[in-house]
Amino acid sequence: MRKVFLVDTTKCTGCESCVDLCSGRKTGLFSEKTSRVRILKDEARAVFIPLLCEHCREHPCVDACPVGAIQCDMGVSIFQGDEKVCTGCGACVEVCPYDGIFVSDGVALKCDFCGGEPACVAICYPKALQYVEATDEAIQVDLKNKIEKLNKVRSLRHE
Amino acid sequence: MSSHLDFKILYVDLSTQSISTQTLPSGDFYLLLGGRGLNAKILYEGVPKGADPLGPENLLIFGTGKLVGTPVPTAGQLTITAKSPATGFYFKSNTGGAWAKALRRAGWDILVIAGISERPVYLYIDDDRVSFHDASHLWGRTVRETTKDLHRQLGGRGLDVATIGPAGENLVNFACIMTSMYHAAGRGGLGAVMGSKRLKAVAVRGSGSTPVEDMRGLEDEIEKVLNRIQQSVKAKLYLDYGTAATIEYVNESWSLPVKNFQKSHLEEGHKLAGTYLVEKGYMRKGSSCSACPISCHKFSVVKSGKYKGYSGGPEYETLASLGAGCGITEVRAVLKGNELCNDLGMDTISTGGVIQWLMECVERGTLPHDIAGGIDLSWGNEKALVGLINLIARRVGVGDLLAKGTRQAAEEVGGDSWKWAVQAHGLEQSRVDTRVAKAYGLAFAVNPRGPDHLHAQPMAEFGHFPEARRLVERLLGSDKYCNPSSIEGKPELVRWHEDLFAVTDSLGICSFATTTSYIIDIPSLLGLVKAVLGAEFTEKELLKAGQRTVVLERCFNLREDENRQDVLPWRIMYEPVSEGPFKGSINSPDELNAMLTRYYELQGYDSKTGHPTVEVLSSLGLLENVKKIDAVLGQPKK
Repeated sequence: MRKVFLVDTTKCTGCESCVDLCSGRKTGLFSEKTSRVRILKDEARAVFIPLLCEHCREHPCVDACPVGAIQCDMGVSIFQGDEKVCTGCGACVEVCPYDGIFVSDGVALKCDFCGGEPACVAICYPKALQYVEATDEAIQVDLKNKIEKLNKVRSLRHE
Repeated sequence: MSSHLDFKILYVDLSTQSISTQTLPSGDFYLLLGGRGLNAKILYEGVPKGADPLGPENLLIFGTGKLVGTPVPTAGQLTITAKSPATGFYFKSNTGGAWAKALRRAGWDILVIAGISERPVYLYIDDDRVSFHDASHLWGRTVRETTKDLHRQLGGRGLDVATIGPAGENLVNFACIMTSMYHAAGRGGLGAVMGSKRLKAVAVRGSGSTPVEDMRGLEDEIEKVLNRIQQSVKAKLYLDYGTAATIEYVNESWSLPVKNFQKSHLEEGHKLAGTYLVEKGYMRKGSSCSACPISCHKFSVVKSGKYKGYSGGPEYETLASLGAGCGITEVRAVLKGNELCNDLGMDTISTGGVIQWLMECVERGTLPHDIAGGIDLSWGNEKALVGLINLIARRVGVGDLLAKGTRQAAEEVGGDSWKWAVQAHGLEQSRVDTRVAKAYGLAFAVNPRGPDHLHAQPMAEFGHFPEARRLVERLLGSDKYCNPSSIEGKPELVRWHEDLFAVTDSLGICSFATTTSYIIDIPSLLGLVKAVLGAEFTEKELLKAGQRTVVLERCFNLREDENRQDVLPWRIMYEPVSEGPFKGSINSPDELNAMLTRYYELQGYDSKTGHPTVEVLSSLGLLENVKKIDAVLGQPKK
């Protein structure tokens, strides 16, 4: 069964374990710069929003990428093959509605599910990040989460 | 060759606005691990006997541990160390948030601040670039304002701010240093040390990385820890209600210090509990320190009314000190008090302690009822909280007296008021009634800071949950020693907790995980250290590194005053519990001495004086590795 990535901003406590574990698994070093997840924070009001690819069905990043570095698989966008194809132009970052792609050292960084067992999900104890089977219920939750997240990001950026 | 076990130290002299750096070899890792341990060594070697805590000779040391910056659960802790203006002795204060991680990512393990600046300054550490900036526009402003301002000014990601509020600037004896806005290095007046140096804030941006030796091994170890958290009752309570979870139980078991430790139970005390706070919608959600899955640090909001506001917390200690201790059960007033203390930069435990002392002075007629002008100082008057907190931080009227802490205030007021100054060595006791928990009593007495819970939390003595009972059985052979009213086995228990607490602080993880809840046990700790650092220890070696720190801290204090005693506040030692099932309980001198004798024996100290002997200093390697350590032996240098 297809799976869906749930990002629940109400549960995130801002510990950034996901950020570090992601970079550790990808590069062997813990660093936000090389992580595919970042936390947008408003520490005054304890607002924590995990920013990462939401693997949306619309995947505007796929269409925006001029060199075909991002391609579709099973209806969601993933990096296809070698990241060297990416030129770091940032077109994907521009179009991503979830601020879920980052350009660092000339290459776009985007979640690829860790090939099916995401590190960030494994370490997220409050279950703000979950990777579950795409049941009807999960799809509904995903939709609700996405709307809530977009609203939060918008109001935080406006401040 | 540089190794990731080396320590990179940044020295900043505010008097000359100069910086220097030093690299300590990995041998120091095996000796003292880092953080609290190395801070203690730097303080011992760097601050001479008799130095004025608020003078240029005092050092303010910010130390991280080698696990900080990794996703090891709870590895986000910072230890700040200095000579305390409250006690005149060694003091370390621990805080979470994300500042420690930022410092590590900037490439530094430890930051040492010396001297006094001519004008208010803030320090900006942008990876390896360090700069001094005028802070006159920030002087007088709250913690929240200062933190927001620096974020606005310096911008970008990976920035974290440690700052003092007006209380620190005004040298309030119990001013704290706040990191990540709401996380307090609360006790001991280290905020006043920072204020005396005219250092408003230290903003750090770390954009570097933290290495790991064995990534796969680390992921396995982390998974084990998360599974243990899943099974832990204590972790679930922290996750749901933070440290505020326990207050209801403590009240129902008649162990809550009410009205300045005169009473043990508060009618309607449940209105201060975590469950109540969540139910009423005041306590909203967790706001974790770096890498913490437990998230005991909460965020609370009062949406409307005269106590409208929001802040981090509240903690058990805050609710017990500003609330129960003052006889106040209107939790919104306590939340406002918490918010004010956080913003003004004051320790909530000591703030509540001095207010309770004042209330008792008025109750007993030692001070007139109008001593605080129009503020009614009757027990339970919630209006007194907000009024007095502001007066203390700004040192106005009676606030100036209270800002000196209960010991000095009682000296000035005179009469019998010293008897209800619930302090020892100048530190107000944490809101734990040690008269009904003997291991806590001993732990508080031998604590180099004074009577509080942050050098050893021997929660296991209650045997409330399986991890605690298993530990007591392992250490003492039977879980029958899980009995808070008995002194049997308590010295052994305290000793173990002290050593592990020091290890925990020095590695940069949280004591709630290793002690208190016993989630990260020693095998797990050894596995984590090996995976991250490639360093191998046996259980004995690891605890020995903790013991070195414990002994070294004691040496600092004995060098200051060779007659320093391991005592508790007068009320705790001479006035029995007055009500409830534990009526009559006390930490009498006889009882305390019986535990101390055994404790000294376990530590290898002189059985009468409690001084470390030359054998102990030598076997721990302190004699050869810490300069001038033999000054405490009371004999001429070889």
